[in-house]
Amino acid sequence: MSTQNSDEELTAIEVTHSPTTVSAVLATLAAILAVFASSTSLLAMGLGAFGLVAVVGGLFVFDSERAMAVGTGIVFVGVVLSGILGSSLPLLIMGSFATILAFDIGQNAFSVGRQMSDETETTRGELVHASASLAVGIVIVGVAAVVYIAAFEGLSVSSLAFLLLGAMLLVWVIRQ
Amino acid sequence: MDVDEALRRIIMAAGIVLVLGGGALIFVEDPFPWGITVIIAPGLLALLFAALTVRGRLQGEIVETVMPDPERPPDNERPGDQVDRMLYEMTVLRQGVQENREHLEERMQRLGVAVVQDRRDCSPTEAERVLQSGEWTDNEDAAAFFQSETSAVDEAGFANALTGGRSDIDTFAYQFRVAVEELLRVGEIPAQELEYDSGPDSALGRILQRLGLGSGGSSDDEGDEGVQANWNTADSSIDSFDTDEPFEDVSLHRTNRWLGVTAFALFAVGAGVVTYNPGLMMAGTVGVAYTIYGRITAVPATDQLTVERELETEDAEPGEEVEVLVTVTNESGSMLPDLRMVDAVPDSFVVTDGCPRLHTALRSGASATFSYKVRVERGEHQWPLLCVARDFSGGAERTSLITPESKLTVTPSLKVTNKVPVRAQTTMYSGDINTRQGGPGLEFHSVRDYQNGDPMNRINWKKLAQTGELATIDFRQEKAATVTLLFDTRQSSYVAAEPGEPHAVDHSVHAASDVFGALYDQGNLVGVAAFDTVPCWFSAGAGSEHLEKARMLFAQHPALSPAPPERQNVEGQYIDPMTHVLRRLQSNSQIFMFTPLADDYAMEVASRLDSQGHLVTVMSPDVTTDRTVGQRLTRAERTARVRYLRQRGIRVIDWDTDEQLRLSIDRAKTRWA
Repeated sequence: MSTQNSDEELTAIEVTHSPTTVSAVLATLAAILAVFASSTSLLAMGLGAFGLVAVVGGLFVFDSERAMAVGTGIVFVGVVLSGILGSSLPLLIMGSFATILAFDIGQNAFSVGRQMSDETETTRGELVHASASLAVGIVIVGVAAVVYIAAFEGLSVSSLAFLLLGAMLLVWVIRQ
Repeated sequence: MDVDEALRRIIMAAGIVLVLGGGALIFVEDPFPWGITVIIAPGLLALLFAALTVRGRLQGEIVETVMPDPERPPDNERPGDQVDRMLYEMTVLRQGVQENREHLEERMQRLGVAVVQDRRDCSPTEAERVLQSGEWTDNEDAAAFFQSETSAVDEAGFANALTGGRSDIDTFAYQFRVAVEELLRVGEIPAQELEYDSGPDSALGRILQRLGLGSGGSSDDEGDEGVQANWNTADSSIDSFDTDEPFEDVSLHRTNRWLGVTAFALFAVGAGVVTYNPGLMMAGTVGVAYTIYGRITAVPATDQLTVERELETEDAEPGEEVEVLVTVTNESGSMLPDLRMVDAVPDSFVVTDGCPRLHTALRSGASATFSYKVRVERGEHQWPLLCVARDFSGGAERTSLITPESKLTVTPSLKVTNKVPVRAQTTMYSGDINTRQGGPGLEFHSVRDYQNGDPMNRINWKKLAQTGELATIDFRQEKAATVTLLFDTRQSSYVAAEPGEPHAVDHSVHAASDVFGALYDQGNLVGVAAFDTVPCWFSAGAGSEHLEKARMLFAQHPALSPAPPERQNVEGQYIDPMTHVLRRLQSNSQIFMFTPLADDYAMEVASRLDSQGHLVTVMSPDVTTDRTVGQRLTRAERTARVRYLRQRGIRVIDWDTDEQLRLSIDRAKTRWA
């Protein structure tokens, strides 16, 4: 049949579900920032760089969300290690902020990639998500700085620990 | 539940005590009345929680809606999949060995008899004897398959299954393969050489995937191998895309995507406490704050989202490309920060250009559009937009189906591109088929003596002038035939050579809409029937109203739908699907039967109708392939069926679907001539 033969040339378009580029690039930038924040200690920075490799590999090479998540985890361990080895407070806060951003945006890259496709127009949605996370982070860091300046003098380490742990437990309960 | 609730309260109480304690410590001069251990203990606890959370995160506690890939063509069964699956079950899973083996042996026996009978032109019993004796082939393994048929199962079966069962099955599988090849060779059934290294492996992979045993990895790895397919419901987490309401909520759930951040926070605070480092504790607050951000959720107001779908045309023909433009407007008062939308294009459609998806954020009052092109298939279609909306943090996800009003009706045109041969059995209606009878008509037939009452315009005036005798000219009478187009639309007919290609029922209906028009134009009375669990009957008739009704029937009747009848097995309550057709079929009706001849039943129907005196023409689209053993066996079986029918004098148009129908008809005609 003549009509049918011409139909067969109309093949379906490609559908691929790799992590979206915009978010992947932003997540990588955030991870790099976190690694730099931990650069006060060479050991911590080395660990962070190792995590960065996992993040980049997970996002761009292996399409593996797990590699990305474990990578940001390692970057964060690097940040914490630099803190234990005596990094300054602003650097620590920036490091954890950047790591969490990398984790959130990287995770979003995979999520959007799975639910949408590479051929989809996703830039606007991705940018809105990333900037929302960034804005929230800036507010958080600002509040933390204010609390630090205003109250840290008065707070003993033990009371700070108690307060934080209590808050953690409450958050944990709400989380469920 | 009670334990959970109690635990919750204990943790909450502990949290409140800690916060109060921390608050109190601010005012205490000496913060360490009890020594440092008291503080380290909760720090370790935090680290433990962090580890637990990481475990939970890595075990994939993330919940998100799985979207279908409606761009892709439907994933129809391939002929022979069943056999390949059985072999796989037997040789790899070691399941249902006995049943599968019996089933395969029975099929092979039938095929073997048919092939030998065809080659040697002998009786079935003689063919069985030849098969049993192994005279039909020089190949020992192939011969052994039929010889061992009774002995292996009955005599050694049980003992073998207990002791050496493994090798027994492998021997069976090996002999089965060889026997199929040998039957193909002996029966001179065209099939390409089987490439053992690539063929069976990829087929196995496909079956693994279908059984859900695939290596669990991303299905994208399969990308370079053949066409990828999709069923909207099977390949997504949505149970059904059928909805009557313009807006339907499918689910509202937490995504748990901030779980990892909770782990970060717990880890930093724990490490800070244990190492007595205030900086780290403060860093942990960032994580805590993000956890709270992920918990604060507002349900996105997707019910205020309006969707408009503009179709290039509302009336299309099957196979046509239709452009679709979707506009989404946020009419709620608030912003929708994260919208992931997939237009749930019907399964039988294929997206050929553009992308039926969009990921965006919409301010209140804003709108966004996306467009794509689809190749449409017959039917009346109205499909929903699958919309997944998240809040800012992505912590909550609301999935809904929004169905715009626009409807697309796809009907075949019944236009004529082929001349279809009708056999010389006719009705009382005048029509287009030349008969051997003389009478009114156009073409000269004979001259006979005048009888009283013969019409004046048929009197042979020349002869009257010459001789003065009255004589009447008879013309060749042209009469119409009653033709019923009979479709085999059982589950077994929904098979396609490749996922991207139309299945046998699609081929049949496409061809039939052509045949219908051709027969109708020739002045025949044409009706439609299908044997299926859904009765389909359209009496033969004529007139433009009849034609229009037939068009709608092709487009809308559930029995002829492009989607298989409920993809499930209904053999339990078996009713002969031909019952309703036989009850209504006129005794002088010719039959055009459309079937892929995928099983013996279709063949039996054709021969049963033939023996009841109907003139049967079988139009059989060939969708078999030759890449796996199962596919090769199925091809051999089909060829044997075609040969059997032809031997019985039933016309079979063996339609190679890669070529035009006209060529196949022409080839078949030379055979009949």
